Amino acid sequence: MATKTTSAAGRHTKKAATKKAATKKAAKKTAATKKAAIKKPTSKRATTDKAVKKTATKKAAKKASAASSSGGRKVGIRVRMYRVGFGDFFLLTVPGNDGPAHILIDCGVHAANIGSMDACVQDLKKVTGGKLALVIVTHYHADHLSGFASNYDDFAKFAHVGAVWITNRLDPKDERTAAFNAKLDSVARQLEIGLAARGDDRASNEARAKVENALGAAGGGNAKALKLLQGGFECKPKVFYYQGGDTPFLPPELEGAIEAQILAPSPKDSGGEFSASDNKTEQYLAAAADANDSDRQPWSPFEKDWPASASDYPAVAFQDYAIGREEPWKHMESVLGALQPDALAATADKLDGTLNNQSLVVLFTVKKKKLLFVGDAQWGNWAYWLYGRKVTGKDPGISEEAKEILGSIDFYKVGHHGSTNATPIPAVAAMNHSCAAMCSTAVGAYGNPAKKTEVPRTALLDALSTQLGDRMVRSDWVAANGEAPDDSARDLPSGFSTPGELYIDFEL
Amino acid sequence: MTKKTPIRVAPSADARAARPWMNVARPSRRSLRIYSRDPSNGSYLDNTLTVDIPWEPVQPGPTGAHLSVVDYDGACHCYYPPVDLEHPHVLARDGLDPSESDPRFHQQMVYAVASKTVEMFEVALGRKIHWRRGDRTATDHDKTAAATEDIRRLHLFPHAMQEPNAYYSRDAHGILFGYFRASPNAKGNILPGQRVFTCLSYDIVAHEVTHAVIDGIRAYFTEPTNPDVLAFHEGFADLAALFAHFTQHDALVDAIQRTGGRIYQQDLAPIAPVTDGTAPTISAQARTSNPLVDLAQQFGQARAASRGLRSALGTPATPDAYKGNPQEPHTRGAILVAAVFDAYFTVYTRRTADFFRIFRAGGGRIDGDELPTPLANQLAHTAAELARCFFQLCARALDYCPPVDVTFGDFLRALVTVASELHPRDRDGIRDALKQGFRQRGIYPDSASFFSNDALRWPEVDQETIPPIEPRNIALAKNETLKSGLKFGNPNGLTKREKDINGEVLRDYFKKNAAAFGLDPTLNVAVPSFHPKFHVGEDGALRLEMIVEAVQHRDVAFDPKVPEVGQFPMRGGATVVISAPSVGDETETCHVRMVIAKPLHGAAGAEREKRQRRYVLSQGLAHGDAEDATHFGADFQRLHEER
Repeated sequence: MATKTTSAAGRHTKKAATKKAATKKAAKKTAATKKAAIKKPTSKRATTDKAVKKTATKKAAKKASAASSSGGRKVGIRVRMYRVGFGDFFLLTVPGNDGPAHILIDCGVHAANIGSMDACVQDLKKVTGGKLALVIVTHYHADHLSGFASNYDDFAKFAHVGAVWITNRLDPKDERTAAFNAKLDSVARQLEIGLAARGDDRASNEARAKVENALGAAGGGNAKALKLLQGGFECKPKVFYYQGGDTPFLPPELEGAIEAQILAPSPKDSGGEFSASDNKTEQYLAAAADANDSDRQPWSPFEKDWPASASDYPAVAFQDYAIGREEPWKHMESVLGALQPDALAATADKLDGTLNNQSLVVLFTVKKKKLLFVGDAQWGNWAYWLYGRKVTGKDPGISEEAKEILGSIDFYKVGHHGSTNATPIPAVAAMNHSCAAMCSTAVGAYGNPAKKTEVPRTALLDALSTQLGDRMVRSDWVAANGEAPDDSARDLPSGFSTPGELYIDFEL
Repeated sequence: MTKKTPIRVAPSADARAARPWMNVARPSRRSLRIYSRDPSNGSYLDNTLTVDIPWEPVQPGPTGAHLSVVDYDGACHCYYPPVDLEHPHVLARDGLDPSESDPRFHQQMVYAVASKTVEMFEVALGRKIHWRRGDRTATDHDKTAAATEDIRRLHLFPHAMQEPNAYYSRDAHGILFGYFRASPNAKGNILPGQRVFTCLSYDIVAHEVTHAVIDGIRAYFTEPTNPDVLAFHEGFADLAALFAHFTQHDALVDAIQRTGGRIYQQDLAPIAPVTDGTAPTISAQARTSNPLVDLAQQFGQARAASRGLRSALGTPATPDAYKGNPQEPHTRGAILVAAVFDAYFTVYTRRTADFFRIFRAGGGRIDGDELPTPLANQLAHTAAELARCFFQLCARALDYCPPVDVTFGDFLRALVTVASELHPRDRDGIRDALKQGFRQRGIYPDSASFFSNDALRWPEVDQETIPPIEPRNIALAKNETLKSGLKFGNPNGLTKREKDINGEVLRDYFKKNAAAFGLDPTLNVAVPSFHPKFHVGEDGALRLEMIVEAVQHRDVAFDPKVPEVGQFPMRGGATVVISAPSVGDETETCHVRMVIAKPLHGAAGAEREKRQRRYVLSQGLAHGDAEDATHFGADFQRLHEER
């Protein structure tokens, strides 16, 4: 393995030099160089290679100078981010043992669906030739899964899938996990019923979106997607369930060519705030599922009627609320109204966070380049591998290992669509300045700009972008299915390219 | 001839009261009936009690000068009718009879327990308390905005929501009490699924009112800048609720008799003896938990726990619990509670040892746990008096805490300082017991160099380094300038004019001498509170001092390398004890006696910033809406839900 890497690197240096010299020459030549950088294809992979070549040509035509100015040294890694709306759909292509090998990481859309999923899956089929070395599903949310349900037949007929990796929180053989998932499902369904009767306010809409995300479109899309992943592929790949610290299985086309490290979720038995399905959360959600519907409707605490109104109280009782107000008791009533426990919204939120924290976090090392995919990991999930020990409040500096990882990564898949709870500030600060990042997101689907909880959180993305020298690109910066790029779109930084619609590529 | 008697209309109650010969002095106390602990308690003892609280004229609600009960149900969107405590029929019977089904009694109980709790603090502190005042530290803060934040009356909402929770809310200017259905697995004296009202629990009302009291004394103790801060809030609120148990004489005597005088026991002995090793056959043989040390029994049982919510005996006398560094404020606060009660029970045991010796010397025998009533009465008096003394130490120690970023160690130093000033001779060894109670649990102040009385007391300042406070010219109104020093007023408080003068003198003084107090000379200094303190020393002489808070703040980036991501507020300040000028001193010059500082400036300030940043990041506080003013404050709603 070591020798192989060295020789590849050596060869590559030569190519880079050639490339540099030839910059001013035809784009065709650049494309040819690139083709050579990816290992010699077998005849079987001809289709695949043609697709790669075609894309490369397009790209090269569009951004001839970008490839050479990004520091050269391309090793044949490509990350393709599809624009589907609010959801993750990433295709990582790496130089494998038999030519380019494709790794699919999540495929779903939920909120702000722009209807481009089918077009994206067709592109995936074309570019991979129906062959995937690896399919990774980070967690059980529609915005990471729905494509496997909506395009079930397309995926089922894929000629080859080397292996499937799924977060071990979805392992059907683990009784405790299975029971917990059944409970989560029942909580989600209860919530769906409870929320159906509610109005069109922001809190209710957001809670409904979170519940839908947990169940999938039409209340069952996620289950269908999981069915595909756990046994629906006609080529019958092996399915593996992983948690932080596991050594994952690599199919023959990847074995030795790349390394993969599973950083999270926390081990199931680690307990407390680290384990994404800890006892407390379980109890909380179980209680929510058991709650009677009658409990959700206000009930009178007294058997007898005690009619009264604000006018039965002396005016001084409301004096505290009177500054600048005509009818101070109305203000008092609204303050108390706002403080009412919103059990449904709180449960929906807890459910959402619980599923996000089950995210499989994978660090790939390919030809000495490091790529980090974190799914939708939130604080609890990050805390586990960032600190590597119990957070006590005294000295929670991030661990040396986490520092080393973050300080050396070359690519980062921005967590949880750029929401404020998904990339901790210590992680931003520790991140390698020459790292590039991609964020799949859509504005206006979640959060409230007035409360500074909008997703994506502008301040966070700006900070990340600054830290990475503006090498952070969003999925909604490219047109797709008639949807124009978002207003925030900028010229793509070096290393990134796009055919003009549907997806953005990043090459290393 | 028949004489016609004119028909006389009975005069109104007001007219009758106004008759000159009915000119009777106003009563000083009002008696009201309440549940002694909560409706579930006391199958054996009568579970109701008549408390007396300071008299004040009340309007329906009850609505008084500082408390206002408003029975608005936020879940059902309705009001319940307010009780009128001044109605003659209500007055004549010490208020309404305790009842779970009458909202008017609920209002009465909430008002009675809140008044009693406030009185406990006012007696202990020796001054009137006030509720939270709006934050006036920000330079550009609109004065009206601050005024709308001022809590003039603490509002008590007995049926605010349908949730097993009760909490103090600055937004609501008061306390929201919830009601709920007991768990299907409810234990103890309640029915599964029955309605439970948190407003009928003496402990819960006292605990929540204490949160409001502390917030009025130290506004920044709701900002978690280290894990002790919120735990202190919770622990202190539990301390106040627990010490209130010792004011109920009958319950105290009962507990003493059934523990053989060992009131620190977890359980009461059964009324009927059980043969060793056999299960109780009748209910009188069942052991029950000691109500003196248990908090909120009904609430705990309704949530399917066999005991109360928390206990004074939360942690054993080992450093393990504190070393484990629990972050949950109630769990951590329980360590503080246990440390203080450890000291209390130690002194109680020491003080009552002689009673037992005398009793035995006179031929008395103690069989098992049974104690004769006269002895139990004596023990109860001692226990009650000592509880008053300990609560006074705790309450006064609040004044000697730093204005921000408090730790348990700071509180120990404050306790030792107060104990040294109130009881310099300390015959009962209170200081030593306190020190041991904290030390055994691994709580050490990080600012003291030795664990001795002298080292633990806040030090007297060196007069060379801290300049005196001299009279200066102040512009009070448009055309009024006068030269004045600090005004100490009289024990009943300061006039508005005296307060205005003090505010000017102090702000000016701190601005000029910021660095001497660890404050940043370039930033504004706010003086959120100052109050004179009158204290008669053991020599009978009156000592006059003023306790002043000086606070300032600046915003600091979570990460200086990526400042765009957000900031957190960093506060520093000092509690300053100032001696009044000696009698006959015409110059009105005051000297600073103690400075209890949390520096914002210099090396110490930088070190604090580093520590706070690490804490804030470790708590995940850097997520979410960091620009929302309430983001870094305690959310008592969330905090109390979890318990």
